Amino acid sequence: MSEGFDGTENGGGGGGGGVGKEQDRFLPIANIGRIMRRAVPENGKIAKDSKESVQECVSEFISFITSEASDKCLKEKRKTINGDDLIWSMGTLGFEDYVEPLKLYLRLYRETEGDTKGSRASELPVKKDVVLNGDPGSSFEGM
Amino acid sequence: MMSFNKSQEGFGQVAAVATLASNGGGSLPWLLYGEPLGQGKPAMSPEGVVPRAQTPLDPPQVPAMDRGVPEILNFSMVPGKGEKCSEHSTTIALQSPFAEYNGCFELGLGQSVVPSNYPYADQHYGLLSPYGVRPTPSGRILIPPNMPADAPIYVNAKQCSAIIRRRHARAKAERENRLVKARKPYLHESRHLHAMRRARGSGGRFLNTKKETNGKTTGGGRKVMDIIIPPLCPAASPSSEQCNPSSVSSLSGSEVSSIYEHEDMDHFHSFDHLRTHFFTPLPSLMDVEHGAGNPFKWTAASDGCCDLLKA
Repeated sequence: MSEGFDGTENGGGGGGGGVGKEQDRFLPIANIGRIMRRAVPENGKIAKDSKESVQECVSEFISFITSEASDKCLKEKRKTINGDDLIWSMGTLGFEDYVEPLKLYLRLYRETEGDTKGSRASELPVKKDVVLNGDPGSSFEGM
Repeated sequence: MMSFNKSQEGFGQVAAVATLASNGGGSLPWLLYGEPLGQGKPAMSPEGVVPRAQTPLDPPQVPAMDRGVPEILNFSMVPGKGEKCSEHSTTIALQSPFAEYNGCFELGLGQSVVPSNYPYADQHYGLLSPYGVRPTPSGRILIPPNMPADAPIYVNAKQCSAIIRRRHARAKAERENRLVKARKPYLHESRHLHAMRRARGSGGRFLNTKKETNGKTTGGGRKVMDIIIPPLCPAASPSSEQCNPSSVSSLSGSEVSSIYEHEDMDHFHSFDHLRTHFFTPLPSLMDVEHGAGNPFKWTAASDGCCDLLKA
């Protein structure tokens, strides 16, 4: 949860600066490095180009899943992509192993967060969580 | 309605032909059908767009006899690709979906896509779309290449349409100049200047950072050392006066009781010196009195007895 918040904050900072379009299609690389660090020993180091490669891979994975969910919402005349759409698109694209853990995660997330927040605000953390579950190591820790 | 019905008939015919293939087909019919396939390409191109639009809907497969020649052409493409799929799948391990996807990903980003290739890719997609829906045993399907000179790439059948959609999206983003190929070393100038002014130590790391404390590890080591001290006292019974002061300085409750047990052992040795038959009941008493520490003391006592017997 805190990492999702950090991502939002970094995104806001980038938007305020108005520097580059790199942030428009990539996740913040600091959060990527933090997630990768969970899978390596404590005395290990991660090279910058490997962080960039994983950043591109996870960003493309998010776009891959989200475009399928967006296509489904477009056909159903809906404008909001929710967590169930993302889980459905994962099942459709062959990632069935992620469906059950993500359903459990989404149910627990909705129980803790509640429905007080707007639907748009609650979507972003779900997408961040998809990134979390994209990494197998973090997936087990997240659950 | 007409286009939808046509796509349904096409899928049904493909299924029927697949059934015939499963019954047993020779290689010669493939060669015979190969020539009409070449002639049939112009005829297939108008229908290429329609199956693509209908593919996501997954229409039910209804067998129907209509346009036998074009559908047989579709069938002639299946066996060869099936063999290639089987060969390709045997060489890839459990991670094949991600590996295949990474391959497509590299091709998509590394090379600039020319707009003129889109009609060509669309035609290939139209030709291949019926097989994407049909469940193949190997689960792999040939994806249209990004460039004409690319080697054929086999991907998960479920992901074929999504991969092609993502290719179009990336190409569109590149046309609108929203792709940034050259990465900037930093995002904010002021933060970069501040970092350049910070003091750095050996290896280039910043100074004044919070370091991890190893006190717990050291404490644990000391505790391990304390546990080793008690066994030395019984073995050095002649110099017991020298051992007692050092042990008293770092004693805890359990170690104080260990000294009492040591004194009891002295009495035990004296009794053993007088009479031998007292050897048996005392260990049982010690078992009752000190359940936890007794096995260790019993081992030490047995060592003492062996020494007495030898002497």
